[in-house]
Amino acid sequence: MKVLILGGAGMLGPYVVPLLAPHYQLRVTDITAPTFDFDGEFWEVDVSQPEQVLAAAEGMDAIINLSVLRHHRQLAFDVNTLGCYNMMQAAVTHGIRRIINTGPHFTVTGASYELFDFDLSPDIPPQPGTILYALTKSLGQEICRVFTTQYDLFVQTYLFCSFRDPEDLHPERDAHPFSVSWQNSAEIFRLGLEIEPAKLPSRCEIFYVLANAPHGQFRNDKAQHILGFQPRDDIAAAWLSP
Amino acid sequence: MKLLITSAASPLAQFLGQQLAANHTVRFSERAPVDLPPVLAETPFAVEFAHSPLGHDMGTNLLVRNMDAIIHVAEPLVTDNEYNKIDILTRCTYNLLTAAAEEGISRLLLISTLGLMADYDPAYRVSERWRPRPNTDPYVLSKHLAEFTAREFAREQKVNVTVLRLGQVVYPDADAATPGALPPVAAAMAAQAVENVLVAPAERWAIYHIGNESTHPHFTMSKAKAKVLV
Repeated sequence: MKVLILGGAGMLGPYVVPLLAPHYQLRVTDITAPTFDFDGEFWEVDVSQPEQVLAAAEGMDAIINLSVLRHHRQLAFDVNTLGCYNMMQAAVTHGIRRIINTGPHFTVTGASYELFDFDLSPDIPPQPGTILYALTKSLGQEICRVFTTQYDLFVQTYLFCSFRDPEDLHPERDAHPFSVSWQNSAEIFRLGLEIEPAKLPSRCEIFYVLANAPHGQFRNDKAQHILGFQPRDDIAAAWLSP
Repeated sequence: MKLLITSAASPLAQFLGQQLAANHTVRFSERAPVDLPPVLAETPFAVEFAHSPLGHDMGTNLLVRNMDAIIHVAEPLVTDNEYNKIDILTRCTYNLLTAAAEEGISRLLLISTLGLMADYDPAYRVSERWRPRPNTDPYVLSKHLAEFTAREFAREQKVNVTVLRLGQVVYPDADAATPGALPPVAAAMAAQAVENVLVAPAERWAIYHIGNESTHPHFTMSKAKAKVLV
């Protein structure tokens, strides 16, 4: 399977790319080359530029979108919102039916949920709020959803929040209830590339990717049941008493 | 009232401005320079134009400062491509609402389209309580995303937002239009709805469908008739 990775030199890239590289023909793209060890195909691609995304997607069987930009008003819309539009247009043009999008948990569960509620699943109406990062990513997700209502393609969106390094947990700090190790988070991408689309409940599915955090605020059972994601206990020390 | 009307290059904005200037001071804005029609120089209240890209700088704050309400017509320029349409109605809507919230502007009217609801089976009578079904047409999708953006500001109670989803707008001097998928709505009726929304108590988040029920009975306008078309 030929897999295009957008934003592959970013934060998740060093964990996702090495895990997928032995199994797939990867075309890693980003605005700068990866700083981690990768000797495969790399293209310089800005996801906000439709012609670049279109060219990079040619001949691919799947797209993984790891691109993200958080703080700059113009760039956040360019990357997080328009980037999804460009990705979906490229998928339609090239007949790519398998897309994996990513984002922060508050793409769905913004402050209006997180401040008040528990037992939150990804299948609730999105309430990103007005925080730039959350809203621009949520708009991107909505674009993906609308495309799946019009075209025969499948979008899985993986949402994350706090990435932790098992070797550097700082248990003295309060652990975010939506936490996962970098290594564990990367494992879900192969599951998403392998699942038969017919086994997905719909053409647009959102998954929370987190460890078995005992807080009871966010649920990870959907990713386990549908994709076979196995949360590790590698960051459990973050919430255990000393 | 002091009103800001965006998308001044669009026929709808110019028509609304002409009607509203009978009772209000109007400031138009557009992302490109616009020569306003001469008729707008003859209105009882002042009409001015401000060139604004609706960027994320102080310029947008200055644009909205001291306004009583914003009428975000949210129409693309004729030169906008599909990417511009998505960008303008998401990013610029966000910038406009952020500036409005920062400047204490409590009310924004967003002009949207009944195209968001056109995908339903005509056997249904579709009201504002039905979920939007946008397609990937850049105009329809961008209007949906503008509503999506505005809704979050309303949810956080930063700005009260009223959405008017209009059918196919028909202007007084237009030839008889061919019946289309969307119900026709006389421009004067749209302007009346805007005026009525402005004088009514602000609602945190409200949507009204505006169009001709007699030609398109699968869009129900009963909510608008009760509140903004009286």
